[in-house]
This record gives sequence, structure tokens and C-alpha cells, in this order.
Amino acid sequence: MTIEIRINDASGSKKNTDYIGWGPRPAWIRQMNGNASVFVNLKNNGILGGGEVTFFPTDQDGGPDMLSPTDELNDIVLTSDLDNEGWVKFFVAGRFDQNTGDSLPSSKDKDTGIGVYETSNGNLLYTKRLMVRVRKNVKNLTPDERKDFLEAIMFLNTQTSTTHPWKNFQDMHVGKTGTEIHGRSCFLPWHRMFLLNLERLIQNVEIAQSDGSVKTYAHVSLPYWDFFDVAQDVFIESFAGKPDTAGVVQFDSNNPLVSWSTNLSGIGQNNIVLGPKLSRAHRFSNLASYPWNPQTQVSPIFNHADWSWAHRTESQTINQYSDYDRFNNGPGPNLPGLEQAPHGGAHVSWGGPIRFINFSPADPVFFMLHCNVDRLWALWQWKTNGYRFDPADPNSYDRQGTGARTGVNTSDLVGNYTEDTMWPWDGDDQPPRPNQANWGAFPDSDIVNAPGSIPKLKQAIDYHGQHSQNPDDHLGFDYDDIPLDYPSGIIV
Amino acid sequence: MSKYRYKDSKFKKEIKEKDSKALEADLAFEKSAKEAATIFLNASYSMQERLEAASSMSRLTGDDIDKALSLFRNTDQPEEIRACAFSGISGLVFSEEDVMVDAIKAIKKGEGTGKIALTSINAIQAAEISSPQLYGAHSAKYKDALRTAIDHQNVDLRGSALEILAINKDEYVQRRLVESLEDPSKELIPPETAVQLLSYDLHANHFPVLREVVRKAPNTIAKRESIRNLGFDEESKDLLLNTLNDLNEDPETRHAAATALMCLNPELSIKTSKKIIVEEQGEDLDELKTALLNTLVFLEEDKSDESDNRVLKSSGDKIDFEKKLVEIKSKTGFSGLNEMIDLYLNTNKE
Repeated sequence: MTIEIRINDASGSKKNTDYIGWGPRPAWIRQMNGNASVFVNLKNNGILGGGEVTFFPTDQDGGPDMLSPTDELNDIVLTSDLDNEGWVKFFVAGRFDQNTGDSLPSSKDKDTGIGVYETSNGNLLYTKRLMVRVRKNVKNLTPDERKDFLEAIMFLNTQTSTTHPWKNFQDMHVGKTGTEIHGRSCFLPWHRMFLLNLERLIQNVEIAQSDGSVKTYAHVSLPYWDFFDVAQDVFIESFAGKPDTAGVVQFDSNNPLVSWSTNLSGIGQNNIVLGPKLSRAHRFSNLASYPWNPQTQVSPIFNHADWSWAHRTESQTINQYSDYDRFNNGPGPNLPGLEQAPHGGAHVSWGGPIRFINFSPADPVFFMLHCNVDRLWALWQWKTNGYRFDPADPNSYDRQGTGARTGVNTSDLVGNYTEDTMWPWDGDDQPPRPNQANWGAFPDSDIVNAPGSIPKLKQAIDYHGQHSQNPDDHLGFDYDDIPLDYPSGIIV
Repeated sequence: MSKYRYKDSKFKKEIKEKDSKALEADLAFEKSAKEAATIFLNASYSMQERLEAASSMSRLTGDDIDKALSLFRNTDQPEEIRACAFSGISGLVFSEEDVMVDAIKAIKKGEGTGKIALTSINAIQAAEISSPQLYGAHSAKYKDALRTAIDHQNVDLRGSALEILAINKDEYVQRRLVESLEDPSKELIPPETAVQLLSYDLHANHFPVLREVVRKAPNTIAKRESIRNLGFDEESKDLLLNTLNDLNEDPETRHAAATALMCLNPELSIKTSKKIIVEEQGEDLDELKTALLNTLVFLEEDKSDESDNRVLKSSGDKIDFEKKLVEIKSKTGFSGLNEMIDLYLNTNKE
């Protein structure tokens, strides 16, 4: 008897499907070549220290029964009648213990397993390998996770396309787009999709090997730089680089980024690795009088008197305002929202391209910084009393409906409203949109269908289906410290 | 949806406790900052007391904003007081046009030590990211003010203005950076930094001065970064090749020459790098070999169908190079080189 399990894709036609986060993902199990029906139990059977899983039975509508999360799904009948192929649907999620707070993500590709045990005798019949893939604090990555992330972004840039994807990311963020993606409410949803766009490209990197096999980077997620915490062993030569006295970033000779440079338009070469060397000073705002040692210090910008506009703690960012408008945009003069602080402060903590809107994505640290900005939004969505995941709730997002094509105030314009499609994936290059939008549609994922080729802003809000409780809304990413709450346990 | 929260779980309790402590710390900080602002804004305190208090201030709120704004705009007040007052309200630059205008004027005037101008730059630079509409309306005047600031005595102010203008491809600053490199008496910033800023927008007329920096080599970093930026200068091909082959040269400078040569003549860079990796001997070269192989892993492209490249990429050469890598791996004790050899051998270059 052979057991088969498919995750995320019933058809079995997609390649990199065996990845889950905290939200329940559809899975299907069947037996083949058997003579009789068999009862089986499903439970975690991963590598010791790897990720772990939780199961959900299927409810009457074919969705996950969110009231019944369980570590062991028992008495599943696998029939030998294959007229209907014998598939039994269930749901599986990464295990995030909501009573202890222990999250159990993977640290290696496919280090998690669904064990299929025969109910009658407890014999292990089969183990389906998969990965609990979530975004993690960069300082907690294992050496292999660090290495794979660096390799993936270099291969993405140099071996997957002649159009140099990283250059495209930089171009999508240049000055002309400033008023489309900054300084208004869509700042957070847009950057959420921007990060996901890059993450999906990374996860689709495939490199042919000399032995005929293919090495994939589907297990790599974007890490986040928690700028409110000391990021020990991050801004060093073996990972994100350490600047010399001139601010030129130095890497170890075996760090894939050793050839990384910033491609700034006008150089004449479209390859980001052949432009000028990356610079990023370890002096905040590039000022000699303001030293900063990221090995031992949080950026001084968040509490130095000379930068009062940037003063913010994580607690203030998350807890000060319970409505989106004030959370992101700030309540008034000299009182910042998240976009000004800590986001702006984190950017100008450094010297070099990351300090400038036109050039900041040239530095890989940009994406780790923004991943944390996105995490802070997700944390606020989760922690704020009543949740902030409902796209139709003005407290979750203040600009409901569709934006105008003309007007003086950029906040009133298209791209800033829940029902608007998102530039540039919608290809809209007509005013008031930026005049370039030819970087293609939003990339597909093998594990989820959302947001589709042309995302709508509202799809960024309920990013893992917390409000809808619908796995179809999951965008395919999660953070290591933010669970999806189940509607079970102690009812408040 | 709130009914679904795990209100009494250990996890939620810990979060609440942590949030509660953080809130206490935030409130304590706000209280002490507010007390500091009260002292700073009260003229009856001594100058020293007021400045000391200012170092503990945060962003000002309520009536304190108007008081600080008056102090900042009163040119009869001492520079230190005005600078601290502006620091407390610098966040207004994100939303208040008149304050943005005042800040730009302060940069242009560059009074005294330049502290006010520097604080203004720091706030406006963040406004570029977070308030692009307001910033955009004043960016031309801002850049004009920065051109004045590049000659200020304040090193931080000068450096900041130079970096902002250079990355924005300001032609005037490019000329001044070239002068700074050519003539030590006109030096604006150290040569290694000037080279770096110039590299943000290299033009052919910058190459002669970079070649001169290589020749004079004021320091290792300036030379190395000049070499790296000559990757677009046809006339520097021999210079780059010689640097790459120079056993007496700093290894990082040799690697910079390899990446620069990769722009001008990829085949030559690859061929020379491979020769160095397999022929040059000595443990002190392990780092260089690792870096060269690292660059080959990611940047070597298969062009075996191109006629001018057949010899270089013939399968015999490929097999020979890979055999030698295996030999090197069996001898070296440098783990970084071993890792890179594995990555190179495992990655299909066909």
C-alpha cells in the first residue's frame, strides 16, 4: 500500500507546494495499491528540533474546522475504492502554541513531517516531508539559513533573468513613484506586496547542478531586521556587511555579496553587481559625530535629542493609536505615524543609498528593514483590541472604496483605496499613476492563489485570513512571532 | 472577532505584562522629556541648565511647539538655543510648509557651527521618504541650499550635503569632488569618500582623476575604490589587468580589479582569475582565491558558442580547471575556499 499526501495543490501539477505557515492549508491524503480500506492517524513526525504541525478536520463547507485544531487527526478512512481517487481532505498548519507562545517553525527545508500511522497498530506507514516556512528575525537565522538567503538573492540577480530583477525593484521605488507609494495610507499595503513580490521571486530561483539535479530556494523567506533590538552578528562581514572607514561595505571573501554593488541609473550597465560598491556607514545618518555600533546598540536615532522627530519605541508604535489613519499617518503636526517613525528613522539611521528614496532598494538591508516595518503593522493588526484585519473596517484601513483619477491631495487619488488595483502590477501608467508600469504582473506562488496577477489593495490587509478565516485569502507568508488566532480555547 | 482571543493563556498574559512594562517606560520617558522641555523653554534658567535639559528632550507637543518655534525663529537668541528648539520641533518639517521653508533657509545661511543647518538636513532627508509631496515641492531650493553647505566648516554638515547632492547626480558637486581629488588644498572630504561619492554617477571625464588616485594611492581604500570604478574606462584595461596580476598588491584591491575588469572584458577577467586561483601559491592568497571564485560562481556566464570565447571555455579547459579546484580543496585548510569550491563545482556552468 502506498500513501500519498498533497499539500496546497490538489492537482499535483505544481512543484514547490510543501510549504505552510501558521494558517491552515488544504491537504489531501489517499492510499494507492491497497486491497482494503485502512484507518490512519496523522501526527507530527518531523526531524527533532524542526518545525511542527497542527491539523484541522474539514468542515461541512469544505473549509478548515477552526474550532477543532488538533495535534493528532485520528481515524481517517482511506478507501481502496479509487473511483473517486480516494482523496480525503484535511488542513494542516505550522504549530504555534497559543497558550504558551511557542512557535515551531522549520529551520531547514522539509524538516517537518506529517506522519501517517495505522490506527489499529500504530505502525508508521508514511511520512510526508514539508516545511513550516515563516519570516524570522535575521539575528536568529541559522548559518545555513543565512547562507541560503545570500546565495538566493545573488542567484536571483545574476542567473535567473537577463532583466536583473533587483534593478527592477530599485526602479519601482524611484522618485517618480514617491507620491504613489509614500506619504499616504497605501504605504504599508504597497510595501507588503513589494516585499512579497521579491520573496516569491527568491522562492522561485532554481539553479541547475552539475549532477543534473536542480537546487531550489523555495525554502527561503525574507528575514526581518528588528531595529528596536540590538542586531548582533547581522551587520558583519559574514552577512549584511560591515563598512570600512569610508563607509564602503566589506564582506567576507566567501560571502556571496562580495561582488554586490549598487546599480544607480546612469552607470550604463544594467547589472546591479557591476555598479559602484555598496556603501552604508556605521555612523548614523552618515555623520562622523554620531557613532553607532550595531553589534551592541539599537540605532541611537530613536532616542537622541537631535532627532526628536524619530523618537519611537515598539510599544509606542503598536499601542499608541488604534485606528489605521493615526497608526500610519500620525495624528497631527510633530506627532508621527509609523511611516515617519520608526520607518523613516530606520532608513536615515544609515549613510549610503538606503538613506535615499530613489536608491534604497539597492541595499539588501532595505528589504530586511521593510520586512520589520511590515511585521510591526501585522503586530498592530493582531494586538489591537478587536483586530485590524477586516479590509472593510475603516479602523483597519481608512480609505474605503475607490480613489479619484484627478485631484490635488495625493491621499484622495487612485492607488490609496481598498478597492483600487495596485501599481505597477496593474500596468496602469496613466496619470495620476507613475508613468512606468511595465515590470509585469504579480508573480504566482505554488502554495496560494492570492493575490492573483493584479492585486487589489484590500488583499494586503487580511494577509493570512485572520478576519475571513478563509485559507484562500492567505498571501503565503507569516512572521515567527505573530500567530493566526484560532476561534477556540478560552472565549473572551 | 475579539471573542477568539486567548485571553487567559500564559502567552497572552506575558504579552500583556511586557506591554504594560513598556508602557510604563514610555510614560516615564515622556514625563522626563516633558520636564526637560519645561526647563529648556524657561528663560529664567541659566543657559547651561537649559542646554543640559535640551539633551533629554523629545519631540515637543501642545503649547511647547509654538514656544520652540518662536525661539528657533528669533535670530537674537544664541545659536545653541535655536538649534535645540528646532531639534524639538523638527518633525514639523514633514507637514508644515513654512517650517520646511525655514529649515531650507537655515541650511543656506549655515549660521555659526552649522548645528541648525545639520538638524534641518536630517529632518528634510527623512521627509523625502515619508512626505514626498511636500519635499518634492521644495526639493530644488533644498538642493540649492545644500550647494552652499558643502563649503561649511562643519565636517558633518559638509559631508551630509555632499552625499545628498552626489547621489542625486549634481553636476556642480561632481566638479568640486574632482577638484577635491586633484588638489589637496581644495579637499572637501577624504579622498576615499570623494571617490565613493563620485562613483554614484560616473562620467568619462571622471576617469583621469581616478587613474591619478590609483597612481598616487593616498591610501589603500581610495586606491581600491578607484580601481573598482574604472570598470567603465576602456583606457584602464591594462591598469586593471596589471593590478589583478600584481602579487604585491593588496588582495582586496586585486579582487576589485577583477570585478572592474569583468565590466570591461569579462572573458579576460575570468581567464585571469582562474589562472590566479590555480597557479598562484601561498596560504596568504586563500582569501583572494575565495573572493575570485565567489565572483565566478555568480558572474561567469557561459558563452561557449561565441567564436572569440571558444578557447577559454572549451570543455577541456573547464574539466582541467575543475580538476585543479578539487586538488586545491584537498590541500587547503581554509574553510571559506572549500565552501566556494563546492558551490562552484556543484553549480552547472553549461
